[in-house]
Amino acid sequence: MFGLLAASVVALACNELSGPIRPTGYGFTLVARDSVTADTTVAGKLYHQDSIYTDTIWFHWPESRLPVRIWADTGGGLGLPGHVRDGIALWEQVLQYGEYDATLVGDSTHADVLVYAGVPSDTAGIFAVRMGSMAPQCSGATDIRVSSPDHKKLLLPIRVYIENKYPLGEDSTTWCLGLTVAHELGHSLGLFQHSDSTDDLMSSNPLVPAPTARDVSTVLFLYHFRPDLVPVP
Amino acid sequence: MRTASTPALRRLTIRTAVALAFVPGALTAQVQWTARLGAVGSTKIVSDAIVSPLTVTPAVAPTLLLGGSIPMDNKGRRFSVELGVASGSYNSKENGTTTPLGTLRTATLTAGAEGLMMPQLRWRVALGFIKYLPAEKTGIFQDGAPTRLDIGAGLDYRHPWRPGWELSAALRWDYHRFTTAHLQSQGYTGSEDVHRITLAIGVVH
Repeated sequence: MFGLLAASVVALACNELSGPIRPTGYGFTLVARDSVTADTTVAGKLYHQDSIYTDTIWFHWPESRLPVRIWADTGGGLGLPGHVRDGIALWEQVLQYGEYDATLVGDSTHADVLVYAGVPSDTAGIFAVRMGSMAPQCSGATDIRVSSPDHKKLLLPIRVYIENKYPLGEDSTTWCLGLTVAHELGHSLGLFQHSDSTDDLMSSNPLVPAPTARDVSTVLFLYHFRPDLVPVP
Repeated sequence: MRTASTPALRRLTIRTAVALAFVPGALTAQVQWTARLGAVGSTKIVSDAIVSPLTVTPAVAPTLLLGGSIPMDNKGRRFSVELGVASGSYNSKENGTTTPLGTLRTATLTAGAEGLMMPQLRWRVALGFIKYLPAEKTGIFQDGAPTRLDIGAGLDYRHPWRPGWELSAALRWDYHRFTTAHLQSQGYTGSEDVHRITLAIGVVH
């Protein structure tokens, strides 16, 4: 018995748990810029008329807002609910320490992220940035709206638009829709810039179906920093 | 949400009970049964560094220890089998911020030897397996939960209670190395040293 225990100790005594070597990521911040047309006070701070306010800001979903509620358009024949479900799984797979959790909801009224089939509508009146992606067979866009001029609040819902360019039902179109939805969900996670490498899912012209090591490094880095923006309905 | 793995825990419990129930007849009268309730504390099961050091640690969890033993020799040494089942939460911690990750159950099944140190104090050494049973297959457990080799040692204090019965307090230490299929798929290598301490009280029959 004691010999067996000693052998077990030797068998157990191997090496320590070591995390992977993570490559350098890419930028994920948003540069918000507003000119103020009249003196405005927000949260006790005065924003002067004719001044320009520029902030570099970033966002990730706080634990208190999890799970993120995502609604997907069932129209258009794009199969968006399935693609969204797959996209959520891809990002949850890499954010393994409880940083992110999302669920598909059937009611768009109270959703945090709306995924539409179709072309984006205009956004006006508040600071907004549209991040597009254009694989050949389909395209996507995500609108991020930020409170103005303080740039402290992310205004919900985040709106995502997915459109097919090639006929539906073709394998290449289905493939494109899947990776484009995953890409746009990456923006909704807080990745507010595109990767400079076409090898990454978050490239402006994504060609890969899942987050790469650089995508993973970037989103992990983002989710382990305190965000500037607070999501508000 | 993916399904919980409680059926595995149920199977393990049933198999242990069946194995102990079918001790050869001549030894039946000498079988000692133990049942104890207590708490188990564990060191971290994952350590990582993303922006700053991050750990994943099971919280102190209520635990049930069920055991049986039969004599090995006439010096008071006994062969013993023990099943430990614990259920609690587990959390990640980074920069002082704790994030709950869900419910984590563990089941340990060990076999070993025990003997007398002093009239009311017994030692135990054991070897077996620990099975992690998360309530949800998410996060580090999304590709499955591990079963790991487990070694342990412990002390039992026993106090006569009534004919055929003793009150017992048990202190257990056990050790295994932790990793998961998901961690390995994400490029993690090696495994984490995990030490656990269990304190439990109960009865011996």
